[in-house]
Amino acid sequence: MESRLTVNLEKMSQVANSALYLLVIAFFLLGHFMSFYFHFLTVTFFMLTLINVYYLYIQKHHALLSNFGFMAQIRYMIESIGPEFRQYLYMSDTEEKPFNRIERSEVYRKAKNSDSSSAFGSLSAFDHREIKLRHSMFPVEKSTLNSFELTFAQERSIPNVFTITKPFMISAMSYGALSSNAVRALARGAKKSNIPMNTGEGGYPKHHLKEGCDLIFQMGTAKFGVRNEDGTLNDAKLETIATLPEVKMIEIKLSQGAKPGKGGLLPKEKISEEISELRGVPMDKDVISPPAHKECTSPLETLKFIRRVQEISQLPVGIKLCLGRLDEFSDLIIKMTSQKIHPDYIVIDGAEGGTGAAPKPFMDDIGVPIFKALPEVQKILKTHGLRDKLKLIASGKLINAGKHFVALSLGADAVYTARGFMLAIGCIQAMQCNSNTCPVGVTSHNPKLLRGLDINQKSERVANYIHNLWHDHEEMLASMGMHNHQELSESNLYIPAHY
Amino acid sequence: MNKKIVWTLQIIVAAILLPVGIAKFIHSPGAVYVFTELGMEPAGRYIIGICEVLSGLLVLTEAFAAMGAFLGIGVMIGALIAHTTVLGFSVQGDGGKHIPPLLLVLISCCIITWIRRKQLPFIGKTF
Repeated sequence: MESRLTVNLEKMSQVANSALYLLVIAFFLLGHFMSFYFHFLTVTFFMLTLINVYYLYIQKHHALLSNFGFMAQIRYMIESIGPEFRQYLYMSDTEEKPFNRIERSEVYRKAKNSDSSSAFGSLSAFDHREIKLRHSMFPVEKSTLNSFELTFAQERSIPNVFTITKPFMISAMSYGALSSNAVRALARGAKKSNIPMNTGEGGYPKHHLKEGCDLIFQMGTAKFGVRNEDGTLNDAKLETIATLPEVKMIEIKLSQGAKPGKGGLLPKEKISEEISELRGVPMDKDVISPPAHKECTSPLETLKFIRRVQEISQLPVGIKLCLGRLDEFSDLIIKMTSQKIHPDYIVIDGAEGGTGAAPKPFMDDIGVPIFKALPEVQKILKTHGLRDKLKLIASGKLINAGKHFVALSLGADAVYTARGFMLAIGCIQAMQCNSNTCPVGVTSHNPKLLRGLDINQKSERVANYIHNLWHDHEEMLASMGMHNHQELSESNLYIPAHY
Repeated sequence: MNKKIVWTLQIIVAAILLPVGIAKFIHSPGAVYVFTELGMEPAGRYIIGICEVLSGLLVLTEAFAAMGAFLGIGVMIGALIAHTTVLGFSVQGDGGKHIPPLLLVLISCCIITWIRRKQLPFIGKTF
């Protein structure tokens, strides 16, 4: 004889469905013979029964509702709070993606200036799949470190060169992808710590400009803010932006790690009146940028376009791309050498890079990850004698000093991070950047959700994050026995054979 | 087209429910008689009055009309039960003049709720 007790959800739902009819009858009788007040319950359960009948016999969209009635809704209800529960309770510290709890809390601790030591042992993987840094037997004194300086466009001898004093910058996030408060908090923090911030491809950088920090103006494939009606470059508009005192460099975005080969995407839920005006787009449609610049049809045309932007802006001009086909990239570099036209810097965005919204296959399966791309780019640049003529910037999930050092050792001169700074201003990785419902107001334009993001308070977090990142940089550099970031090279790395 | 129909119905519902709801608060003799018969004097009279006024006000808004109509259905079903089981259709010899408006409100509320079903909180998206 079966002596185990089990919970049979199917039976339970059948009982519940039948019980509804019986309850209506029971309450009706109670209402009739005991007190008319019972009819409040009669009516309630009668209406519940009607809804249940609709689920069971009329609707055809959900098999579960057809088979089990209203009880099946419990599944959907619990499922809908699954992401929160997993994040709060069930996911281990190391298993969340894209950033696990350890990575996130490291940024939070830096941003809040709280204790940064951990206990007992590392929670990261030592399975010979992660790149590690090699320290020196003879660390140097921190006081002997040289200050960091990187000057863009010094090779081109133009009057408006631009020098950064820390090897990391705030990566491209437009007003549109981010809320106005988030943009301003980042900009104010950048101003406090004197690092530049990229405007993203969101058109005229109205909110970025409010705080007076150094800006890198990004021109996406749709050229918001500097476009003609047909999507080509409007020279006059670019010149106006380039003459703004805050704008120090111009960046031409060719592609992005999160969606290489595809243009930017801003879902219509997030297009406010202000955004539609700044970008010159309608409010009722998703804004999908073209996959490439209209001018850039071949390597040669791309170079001509870079030259044109350099001449109009009279500023250092860079390009941003996610590494795809190597033959094309080398072709572009070969043409740079032969034409004697080169951008002042190249940003290599890893395929792991973040985005406000992108189609899933592009996010998951297209593009080369940053630590694989950097050595290849470095090799091609060196082969064609271009490495000394331009700067290389790396981006893609580089949110802590360790990752920065790996990128710098693999050839980058500086790094960009976007999501690191989002975490610093309070991002909780709710993964809702595309739906205007960001619970902490970082990516939402809903005034009710923006309320919680206090610009001044969060700008302090940004400054703290930068300060503590820089602290880690100095400590690590000293422990590796070096005085300059420029000394970092691949020989400082332990790269596992299977990496 | 749907918009015009639904707003016409909403105004009809409000025009009927608001006066009868308010009547229950000002101790109208008819209402007092009915609720005495039902054994719900006076608490039940106030509760139903609140429901009717609330429903009447909600159907006059764009955002909450579905909720108001849904509530209206509930109140009208309750009223039907009262008339069929306790009161009879003719109350105090009035020849059943309450019944046509009652049915009108019930049917109107059903139509409003159906057309605006997506606006119902929580369960709205399941229809």
